[in-house]
Amino acid sequence: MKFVLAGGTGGLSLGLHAFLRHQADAEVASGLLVYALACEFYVFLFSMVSSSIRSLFF
Amino acid sequence: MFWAFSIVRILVAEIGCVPEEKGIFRLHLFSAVPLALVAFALVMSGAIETQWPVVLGALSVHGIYSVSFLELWSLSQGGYSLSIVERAAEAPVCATAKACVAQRNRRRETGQPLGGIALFAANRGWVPGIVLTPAGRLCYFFFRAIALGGKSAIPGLTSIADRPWTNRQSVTSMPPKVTACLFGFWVFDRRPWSAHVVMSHRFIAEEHS
Repeated sequence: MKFVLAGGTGGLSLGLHAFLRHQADAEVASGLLVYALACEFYVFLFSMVSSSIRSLFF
Repeated sequence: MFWAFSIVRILVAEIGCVPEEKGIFRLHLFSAVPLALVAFALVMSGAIETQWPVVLGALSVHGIYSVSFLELWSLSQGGYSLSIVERAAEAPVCATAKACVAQRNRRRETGQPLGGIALFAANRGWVPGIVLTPAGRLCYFFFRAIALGGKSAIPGLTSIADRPWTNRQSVTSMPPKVTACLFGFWVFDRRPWSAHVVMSHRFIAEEHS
């Protein structure tokens, strides 16, 4: 939940900043997609690690 | 993403083979690498007027799809609720539910999945220590209605009370694999810390007595 708040805030900030600088073009969309991929990859790694630790205890 | 994952799980259940995570990973790798190579070659050769941001965006979309797919796959394979279903399939069923016990033994002998029959027994309260929550019961009836089309899952248990979606007295029918597969996906996880909290409804509960 904390990451959703942090990641969402970061994404909104990035989108706003990119839109103000370049308007809506391919570069803005590409930057947001790369950011979304990074967030998804973080969630993926976080889930895997947490599952592994959990499996040790249970 | 969700539908792609569901379709693959259904196909896996119908085909009968369960691919390993390595195979699923290769499936995505073998589509991502050619996409990157083709895009790189097209841009470098000047064959099309595609810009690098477009290529990067396309690869990012593919990456988001692949990572999400792999994440759902791994969670569904090791999900907490699925382990409850597996445990319910091996748990002793009340001796009064003779038809259910016989059906489970028959399916075990023939090597068929036991998830559907385990959920059926849990829904009827025949598995000590495991119950379906109201949301899980609703989901169970929904998918069972789709999969069985109004037929009874267990021979001898054909009362209308067992089948709220139909008024027909049915013939006997085996629970198809799709039922367990679909339900297995829906109940797979309930960890509150996960970003997948949207799908973490509590469909199955354990009774602590």
